Amino acid sequence: MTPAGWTIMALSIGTVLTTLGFCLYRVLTLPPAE
Amino acid sequence: MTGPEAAGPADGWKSRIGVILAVAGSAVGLGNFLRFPGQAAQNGGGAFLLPYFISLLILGIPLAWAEWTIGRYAGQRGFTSAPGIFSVLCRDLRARYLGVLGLLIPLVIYMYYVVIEAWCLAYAWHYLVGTELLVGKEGDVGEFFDGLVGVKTDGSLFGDGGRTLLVIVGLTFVLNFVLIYRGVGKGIELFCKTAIPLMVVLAVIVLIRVLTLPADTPGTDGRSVTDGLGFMWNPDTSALTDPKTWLAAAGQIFFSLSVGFGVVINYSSYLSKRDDVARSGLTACSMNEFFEVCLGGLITLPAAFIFLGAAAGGMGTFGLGFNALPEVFLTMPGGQFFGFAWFFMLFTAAMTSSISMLQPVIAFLEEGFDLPRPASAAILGLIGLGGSAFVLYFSAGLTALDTLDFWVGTFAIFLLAMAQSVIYGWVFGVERGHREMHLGSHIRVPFFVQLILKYVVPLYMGVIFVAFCVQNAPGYVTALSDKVSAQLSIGLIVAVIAFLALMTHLAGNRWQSSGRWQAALDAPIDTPED
Repeated sequence: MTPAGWTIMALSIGTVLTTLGFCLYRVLTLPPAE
Repeated sequence: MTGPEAAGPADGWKSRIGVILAVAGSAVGLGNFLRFPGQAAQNGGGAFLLPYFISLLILGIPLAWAEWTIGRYAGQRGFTSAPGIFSVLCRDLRARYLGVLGLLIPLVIYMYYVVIEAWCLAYAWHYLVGTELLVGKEGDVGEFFDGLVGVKTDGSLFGDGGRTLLVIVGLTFVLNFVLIYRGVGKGIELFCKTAIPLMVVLAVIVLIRVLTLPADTPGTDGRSVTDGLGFMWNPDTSALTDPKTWLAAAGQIFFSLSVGFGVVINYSSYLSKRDDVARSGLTACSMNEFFEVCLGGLITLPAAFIFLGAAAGGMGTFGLGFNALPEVFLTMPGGQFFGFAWFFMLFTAAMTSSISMLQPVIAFLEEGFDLPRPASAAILGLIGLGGSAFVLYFSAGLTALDTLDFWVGTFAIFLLAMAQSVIYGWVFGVERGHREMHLGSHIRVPFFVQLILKYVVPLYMGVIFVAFCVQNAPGYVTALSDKVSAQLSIGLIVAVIAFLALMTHLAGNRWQSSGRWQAALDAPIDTPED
């Protein structure tokens, strides 16, 4: 595995996990719609 | 959450997270774990991720947002099925015939998808009981697959050899219909709330096994975990100058998110104007990417490379899933348990997708003919059973399955997605789309996304579609003159289209005579805010 491979893997997985974590956190902590 | 409003649908989601999990469950399937890694390996490895994420941002997420928006808009005007939704969007009842595609796609895909789903459950079962061909020292995974799916002769599954698969298909069928019979909230939502976390747990178990394989594991010829990860993720930047890489990335995003499938517009039609479709759409897309990039990208191809070498990169979806990975589990320490976990996870992923395929047609039968849910489920069950029996009978070379998958599971999806993007951008209007998307929203989506939806997405999709047809259609057209099962498959598609078009015609007449259509027209063009 080259340094470029590690970088792309870490960036891709990090971006997806961060986005998902943020979205889920906001969805689960919002008050009910009704 | 989504109570029945004045003109809104009677069924509905019970929680905000429920609809997100259901949409993500619909999108997450075999393609996330098997197609994505293969596409990446064949198109520049890590370099593939650049066009992949660009396609996600300018094609996938905007299209998903558009589907969530138009689905809810039509649901607020009393329509949850594709024919009704397109009629409402165009304010013209003739547009209902376009909605036939939104019924055809999930229905026909269900016919063969439930068979593939049954393969996954059959593999899980055979790992559990320790079938010799999968776990024994003299195991032969190729022979197991050929026997299980009846790849050599048409009709072979209806002899003695296919009894196990037929029983499992029957079981899978019943399971799907029990869930769909229970409705959106008590069936689909409840199941997805259990199934998605279960899939994560099972996939993480297999992931940990793959990432902790010792370097001296027998059968690996010295290939380590980092070699396997490198095969998947090391970038070949020269691939970025090849247009095929960009087309492959856009195609992967498009199919992975299940846009143009007829499901998201139906699911979102049960939402109220207080629901946040912008954030829910983004969350569902992110969840799909989690399964695809974080789990599919770390498990499938690295594991296959460690045990099988570079040959694993050239295998197709079925080859990777039902030959390469069983070969890996045959060699891997504890392979019987991990094989069970993997295939049960795939089965669960397939279940969350297949129940989503039934709901659009059920919704149409209910709102088009005022049929109660048991009657709708029974009619749909009979049609689905007939189609699945066709796929099971014409199993030689998997030609019937492949033909249905190409013409409906690929070609028709392109058509519907393009039609949706044009209707959204040019008929419904991006200004209205922008306003509707932000009803109940807690995030602001920049207006340039609407411009992307109006100008870039239809063009981008048109280019992908033409390139896709040039690459793939000639082979499938040739197959039509060579293979009877391919011709019969086309006949099946035509018959289903004719049936759905007739039903759509009748449903439209009923909507007109009952005043339901007029009520939708009389509703305000813009959904009023509170």
